[in-house]
Amino acid sequence: MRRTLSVAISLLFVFTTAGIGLIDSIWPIEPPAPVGREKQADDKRRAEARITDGSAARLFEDDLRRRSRVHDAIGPYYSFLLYRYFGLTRSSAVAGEDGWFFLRDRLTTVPEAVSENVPLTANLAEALDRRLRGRGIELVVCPVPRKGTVQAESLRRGLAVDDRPYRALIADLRRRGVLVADLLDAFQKHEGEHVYNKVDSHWSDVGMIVAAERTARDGDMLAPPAARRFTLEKKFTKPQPGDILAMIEIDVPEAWVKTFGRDEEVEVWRVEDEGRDVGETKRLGAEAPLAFSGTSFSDGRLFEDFVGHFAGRPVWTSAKRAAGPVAPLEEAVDHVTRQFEDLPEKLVWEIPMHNVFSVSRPLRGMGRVFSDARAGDLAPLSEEFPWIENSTLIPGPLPSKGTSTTRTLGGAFIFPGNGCVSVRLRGRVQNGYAEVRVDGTGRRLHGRWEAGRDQIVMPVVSVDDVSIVNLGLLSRDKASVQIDSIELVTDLEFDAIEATTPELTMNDETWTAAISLVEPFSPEPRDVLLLDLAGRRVARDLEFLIELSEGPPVVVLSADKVDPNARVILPLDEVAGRPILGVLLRADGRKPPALEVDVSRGAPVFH
Amino acid sequence: MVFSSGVFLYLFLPVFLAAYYALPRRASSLVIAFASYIFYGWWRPDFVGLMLFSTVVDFFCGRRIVAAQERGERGKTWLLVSMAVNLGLLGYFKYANFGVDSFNAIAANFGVGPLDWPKVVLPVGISFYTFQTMSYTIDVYRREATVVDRFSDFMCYVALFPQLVAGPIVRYSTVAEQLRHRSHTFAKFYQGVLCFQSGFVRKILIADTLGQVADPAFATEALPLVDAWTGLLAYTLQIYFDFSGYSDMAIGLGLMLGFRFPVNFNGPYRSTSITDFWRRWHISLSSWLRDYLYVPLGGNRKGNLRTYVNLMATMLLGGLWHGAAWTFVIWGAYQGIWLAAERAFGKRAFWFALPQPLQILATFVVAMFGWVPFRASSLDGCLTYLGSLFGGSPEGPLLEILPLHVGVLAIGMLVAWLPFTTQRLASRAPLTWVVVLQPLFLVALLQLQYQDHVPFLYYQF
Repeated sequence: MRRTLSVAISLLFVFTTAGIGLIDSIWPIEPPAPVGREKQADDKRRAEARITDGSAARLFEDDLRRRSRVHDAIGPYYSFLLYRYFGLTRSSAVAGEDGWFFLRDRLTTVPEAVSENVPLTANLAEALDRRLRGRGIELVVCPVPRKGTVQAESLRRGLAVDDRPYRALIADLRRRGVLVADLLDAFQKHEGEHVYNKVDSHWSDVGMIVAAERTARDGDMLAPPAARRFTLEKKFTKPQPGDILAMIEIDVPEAWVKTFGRDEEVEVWRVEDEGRDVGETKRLGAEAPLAFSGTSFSDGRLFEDFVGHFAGRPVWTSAKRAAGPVAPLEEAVDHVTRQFEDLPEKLVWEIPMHNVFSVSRPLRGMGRVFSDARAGDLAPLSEEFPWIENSTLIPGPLPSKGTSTTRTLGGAFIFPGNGCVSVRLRGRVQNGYAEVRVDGTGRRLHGRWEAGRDQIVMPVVSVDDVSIVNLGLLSRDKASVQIDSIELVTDLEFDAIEATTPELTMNDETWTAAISLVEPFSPEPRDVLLLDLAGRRVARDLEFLIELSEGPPVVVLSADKVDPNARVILPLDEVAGRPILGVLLRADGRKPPALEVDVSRGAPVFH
Repeated sequence: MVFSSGVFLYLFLPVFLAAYYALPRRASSLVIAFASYIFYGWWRPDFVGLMLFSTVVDFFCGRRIVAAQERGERGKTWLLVSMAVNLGLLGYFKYANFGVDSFNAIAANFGVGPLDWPKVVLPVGISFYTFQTMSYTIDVYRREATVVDRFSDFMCYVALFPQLVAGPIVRYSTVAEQLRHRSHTFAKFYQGVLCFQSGFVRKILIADTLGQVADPAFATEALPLVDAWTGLLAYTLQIYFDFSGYSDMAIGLGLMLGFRFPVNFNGPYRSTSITDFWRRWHISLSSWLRDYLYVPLGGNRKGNLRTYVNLMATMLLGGLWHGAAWTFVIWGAYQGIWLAAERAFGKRAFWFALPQPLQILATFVVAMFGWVPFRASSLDGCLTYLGSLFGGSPEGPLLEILPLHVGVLAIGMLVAWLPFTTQRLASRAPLTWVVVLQPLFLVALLQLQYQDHVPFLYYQF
């Protein structure tokens, strides 16, 4: 008996291991082809796989697993049983209470979400809005809250999603005057309704309708009921297969699902136009007054149609799944600014917030969006722009190899990194293209100066205030590039205002310079003050505060180093609507021997 | 390559076993060596050259030592050459980054800029095979082992894939005879299969499941009390089942090839003291450190004070052997202090007056605390975690703990405290154990495909 058992077990061991290897090698399955960004990442991985560093071996192992016939046959049942009896899923997802599933990476919040990703996103959105308004288009930012923030009560022990970054972003964008749809608030007002699908990472039809109504309302385009486009009515309910189940390989026959009693019926809504189903919006399509840049929350769904319905306007869409929020935006901006005869009134930008709050360095590729977006009229900031003298990037022909660079003098020109200041290169590009890199102390934007265009305008966008601008230009694909001019430009117009001579005082180790405005005023969002300093000593760690008629002074800008003759643009978004009495400059150390300041009031002018 | 991967289980192992048993026995060392180089070079082929270099140097030094001894000399020069090369390689690959980082941290306090230093990649298993090759030359020098005749045997010894990257550290004297003459019986093969299956189940079903709690716990560090203790308990069991699982698989694979490797774990969490713990935990390392470091330093032969110093020095170096970080130094010091204290108080200590179950429980808790610096990512993280264990971080709960995790924790505790080792079970093969093991092995195979790749914890050492 023991002998037989030992032989059987040894054979079982050998045949199991060898058998699986044999079946998977001879008869592999064809795994689903990756799409969008996953495909890009997969292609890159395959192209870069090397034997020497083990990356080819890892790729081989992953392919072996993905192509496993045995796993494909047994895995889904195993996954289902694990979930059913132990509440366990593949690590990419989390099973919540009552049949809810969440993608794990969307539950995490990176530590820099509030301190960096929110201001960066707000600055990028404001810069884009300024650029689009220069062409007469208003941006409507539509941040899609993470499923875990909306359905927080369905998360199991130890899993909580931080909704503070979302609230901070909404508040920040509103303060800057950027139109933004607060979908988290809208969803929370529909508590108890399934605005997200249980087994899918996207919202339900109900959620889409709620989101579309709020987008139209917050985007200042809500049409009165009589002017709405379609008839909306609940069509039927159906089982929802859900993308998460496929992702975590719980993909078993219907009979199993019924046996174990876990299923979800979702409502399907009809969008009806004069008795006919509108169906899903096709990508691109005819010119329309409302442009839409969407992701998988809209592509192949009805979200744009619902937005169009509530806005009472036809919609053109570049929605694309698995591509992230930047690629469809680039396509939308490029297409509408180049191809439309009548530019749209509004552009809705859908940003799933896991792309911002659950990742480091979010919204990559925005430089391409700006290089595609034709700029309106912009004014040069100064004839004597403060580029350093020993630059390799100067007007004239660009060397065909290597990156030519220049930068502004540190601390000579200081401004917020919200796109109010841009770099404009004028000249000619033939063949190929030129890669433009603009770095406003922290976040580099890569633009693409295409052949045939006589200028490129790249905004200076940064998490922090900008005290130095780095600019690089590189010829690509053997492009021949002739540069006529390099300048800093702005959409702001300034008017000098009267102010008192700065009153310098020392208090302990801190000096302050108080400047009073002769005529206090209440700024609008995006209004600024321009200070032209004339001093004798470089100031370190200088803070600029706004004195208000009520309450303590508010810090609106700070800089590590400020040149004695610096120009400084102070943003007034934080004090918008409150009477301003003056400006305070504050720093530690010795009091400057003398300081004069000319003050101008500025506001964007969108031509 | 790792044992718990599809490429090893479904491709490498069957093909290797078929080739090993099909080819003539006299080529067995070469077959093993060749397969071991493929196994080792699978992820980083360039490091095979490093291992070959070490192999050649020690093979040559061993022969020169014997030649010198035959001439009536001691052969110390060649021993020193071997030590210098082995410790030099280990020092450079394992400790250079640590040294430079520590220097930079100190220099920064004096306003000196950091050294520009390209990060050195740590070759997997270098700590293990370096200790093995060093034991060879030291044993030959001490005349405790005979010099190896055939280079292929020595290649096989150094590169022997079952225990190459995470032990057990097999001394040459242990396997010298087996390299030349070893029996290949069905009973041995069957025993090997059972050992391998048992280790695989320990690793995949227990250790990796507990890792789902321990990893986020130590990634978060600031935890509420319950989460901190659960995370630490999970790690305490995870590292045991992960490492002892690997050792079981290594011993099992060795048996399939006819080798008998020494036992590496003997129920360490049943220890009644830290001294006892070190006789049961990673036995091949603790005995190596005892024989090649503690005893040559003087052991306990030079008075009490010197004994304590030797214990501390041995454990500090043992800590550093695990990894180049201050957290490992602290872990080593912690172990050294306990060992010295137990030696100082001896049987007079109140400890030994406790009932044995309490001694075991207390030792378990002491060992648990030791794992905090061992697992923490930094000194700050270690202090934060220790603070959490005493209620320093009231937020929570922050860990996703499912009923399954609680169940596996309970099973893990039970198995850890049962008085059986895998090797003993495999040699006796009780029917119940064998029958229960088979479906668990099949489930572990399914789980392997299901879960993300989880390397063995000791691969990083």
